[in-house]
Amino acid sequence: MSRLLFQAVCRNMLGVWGTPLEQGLVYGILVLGVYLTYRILDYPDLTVDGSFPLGAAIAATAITKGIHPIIATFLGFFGGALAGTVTGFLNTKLKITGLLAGILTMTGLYSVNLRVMGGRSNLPLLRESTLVTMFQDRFGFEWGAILLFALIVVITKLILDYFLHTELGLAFRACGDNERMIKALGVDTDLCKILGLALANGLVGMSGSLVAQYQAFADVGMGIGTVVAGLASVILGDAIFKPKGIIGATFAAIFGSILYRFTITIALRAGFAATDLRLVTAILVIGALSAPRLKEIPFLKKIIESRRSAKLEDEVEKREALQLIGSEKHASD
Amino acid sequence: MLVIEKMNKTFELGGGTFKRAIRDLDFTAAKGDFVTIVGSNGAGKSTLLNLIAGVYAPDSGNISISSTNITNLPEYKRAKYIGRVFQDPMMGTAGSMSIEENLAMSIKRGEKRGLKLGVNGRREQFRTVLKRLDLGLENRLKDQVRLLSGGQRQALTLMMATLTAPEVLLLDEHTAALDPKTAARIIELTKEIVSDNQLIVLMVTHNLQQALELGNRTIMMHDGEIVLDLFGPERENTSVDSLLEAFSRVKKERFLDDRALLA
Repeated sequence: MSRLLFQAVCRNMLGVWGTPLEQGLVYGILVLGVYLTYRILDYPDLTVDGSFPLGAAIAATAITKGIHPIIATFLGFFGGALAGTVTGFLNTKLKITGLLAGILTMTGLYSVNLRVMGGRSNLPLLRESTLVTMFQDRFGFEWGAILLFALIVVITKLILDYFLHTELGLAFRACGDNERMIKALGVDTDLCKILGLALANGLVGMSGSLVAQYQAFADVGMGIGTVVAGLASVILGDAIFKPKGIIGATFAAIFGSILYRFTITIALRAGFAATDLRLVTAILVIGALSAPRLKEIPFLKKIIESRRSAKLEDEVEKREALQLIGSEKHASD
Repeated sequence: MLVIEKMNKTFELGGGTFKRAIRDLDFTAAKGDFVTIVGSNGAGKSTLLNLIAGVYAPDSGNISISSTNITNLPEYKRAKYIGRVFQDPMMGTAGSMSIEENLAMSIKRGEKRGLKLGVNGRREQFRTVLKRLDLGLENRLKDQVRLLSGGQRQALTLMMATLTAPEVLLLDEHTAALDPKTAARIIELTKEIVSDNQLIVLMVTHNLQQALELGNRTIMMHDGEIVLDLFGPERENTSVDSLLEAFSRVKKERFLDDRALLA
């Protein structure tokens, strides 16, 4: 118990729940899910805000009922996958638009999550043995969680990388890229989308179940803003690593997640209150998404263009100089 | 053998107006037939192709390929019989994926897709296939398709549509969006590929010269019906002018707009 108290104090000292690295890794699993829907399927999936706490609620409930944490974590995965399936069904079979389908599932899940937790809005896991405590007992308090999350996120990444290069995975990627084309090649695009949403939300649910074990409770409100945080991570990773290909992109997603948590920690250090973080995140995402438009604002355009022309002039001078050297050389030959 | 019997399709345009796009259409094409389809805008050419491909279901009538009735099959299940090239070069390939990945997808046309790596062990085959296009694509297997020009993309699409030798190949004005030189190259490729595989080809075109030169049969559509079916010696003796005349005779009035459009 004293260890747990120490743990809680440590985390409170950081102002957020745990170190940004641990968080970046455990949320990295979620970010991989968001990457699947947002980047590959080209589908803005809001189910995440509901499937994340669903995974947490399922795992927390299962663990308090005495189920092994590994199984509980997988149950979280399946819960999330089921939620994604519902959204996919609403979108493809009932023809509800993507955003609304996600919102509907998310809204419904709020009640489901309360049911799963037996009508309580918060389910503590303080005295329970979880995957996190198991790893911390084994590998020490400092490294336990990092090791556990790094292991899971790397395995997930490798499996995803492989999957996205299989025959099925290629079809899945084409579904988001050019639906008409892949349909003409004999792929049931509805099924493809449903499977994609199930897989993505499964990862989100698994991430939720690990976060619950990490922070030692599940809370019905823990999902709010998850999508935007996930998007922020994907966009941040893309902007910094500019990945080419799938392997780079999944890597960028995970590192984007870690960077995002670092950004949040810095924002906190800079004096933002913890309650301001969602606004900071939202502004971060708006900034990143609007960056191409910002270039068209006359004032900014001028700055960018003057820089570019300066660069061009440099280039021209350099080239002329080279030519000069070349012609001199030629003359001397 | 492609057989279409008594097919009808009406579109609701909204506000209580309807358009009969296809009227009691009967059509049969045998293996090895290369049919060019001409007709003015709204004649039902693209609708016919879309009905064969399964983009829409007909209101009535039957479609069968090699005596398999495909009338009620969804589009994705017809894929194993039908290859398609669209007018828009962007339409037939996945731009964010590499050339080899696009080919790997098309090689599994209409088949079950599993958890085997899609590209592995097929690169040599892809190179051989791409070499035939003579565009240097065989050295760019890992390049994203969006880096290719429209003509290159259309050539790749054509290759992908015929890689698994489907029974029917649908070409919907597949050279219309290309510059004349590239278009000519794509037509050459079309000829080569078609002569290698015994397919049924249906090709929509607005170029009457091309319609008469390519293939062995030309049909003219008007208002959802096939109004002219040319083949054999009769077709050989048809010139663009006589085709245009037939066209205006069919419409029973002079359509200067169409003349300008088609000439």
